[in-house]
Amino acid sequence: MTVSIQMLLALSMTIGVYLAAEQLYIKAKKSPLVNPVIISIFSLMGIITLLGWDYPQYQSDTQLIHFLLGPATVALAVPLYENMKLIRQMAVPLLLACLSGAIVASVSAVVIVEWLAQDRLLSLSMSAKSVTTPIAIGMAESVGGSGSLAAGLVLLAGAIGTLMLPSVLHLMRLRSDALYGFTLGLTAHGFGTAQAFDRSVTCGAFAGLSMSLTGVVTAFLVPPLVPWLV
Amino acid sequence: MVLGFFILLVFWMLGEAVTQLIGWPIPGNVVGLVLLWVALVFYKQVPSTLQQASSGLIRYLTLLFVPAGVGLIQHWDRLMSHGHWMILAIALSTLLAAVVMVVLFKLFRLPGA
Repeated sequence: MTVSIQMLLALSMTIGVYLAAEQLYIKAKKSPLVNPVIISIFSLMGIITLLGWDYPQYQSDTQLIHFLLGPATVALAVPLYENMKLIRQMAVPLLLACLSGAIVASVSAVVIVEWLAQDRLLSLSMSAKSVTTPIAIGMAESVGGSGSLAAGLVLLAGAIGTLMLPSVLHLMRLRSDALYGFTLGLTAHGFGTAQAFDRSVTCGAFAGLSMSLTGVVTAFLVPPLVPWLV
Repeated sequence: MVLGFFILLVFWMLGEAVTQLIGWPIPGNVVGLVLLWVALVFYKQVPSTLQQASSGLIRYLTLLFVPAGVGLIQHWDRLMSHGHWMILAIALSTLLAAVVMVVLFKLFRLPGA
């Protein structure tokens, strides 16, 4: 990897925009409407367009940040271990909820978007929408969808999930932090996990657990179902 | 903290090696997560250096999604023509999945459900 000024600019711009968006998020009392990831992504899209950069160049310049997603995913093992006692107590219901939730989240999204938009590439990529980004890209490509489109849908699912779920779960009177996190992690993967860690460490650990389980379950069970759906 | 980061890298590498050996369609970092989890269960404690490295990475988890997210720019046309359907389909399926899960939690009478 050779270091260029453009690469350093791309990296510092990405981190700088994110830090500014995070300050805005804190000022807005952590309202999901000003989600720092969404704000950062759209600001950076604008900046890249204004500078006349192309995305593949930006992507390779910011490899360093993307790379850290690997160890960060492995790191989720630590909060999971710290919540072993709670997980052991509820293992069977959690697994069942994860299996049914993961299949419903994926299959219903494919069927609905196929019916509404009739765009085959979109429907196929939609099957990976509630799976964490690193799994989603590979999975979408294995069913004949587009990896980068799936990455975008995953992002949308994360943003929509973190916007909707607090009120849905409040209405359904779910009080347990652990179960709240589990639901958030299944439907809104990393976004949900980040939001869950804002609530409590237990909530975040369960979100991380369901995010990882959902990724594995969906990547195994959904691809064989997809040809029957579209 | 460097030792903690080293542990994370080694488990990631092991995860990648396992997926390549078995030919699984699952990313190596997820297998690495499971392996590290199992290792911690056997070791019965979290080394403080691993604790530091992982809480630092998890604290900024959302920053790590940004570069991939900017890639949405490559699907701008599709986003403009089908964006409303994408949002509707995602919102409905999120609601369905959450309701199914909470109903299951309540059927099992889990504490706090």
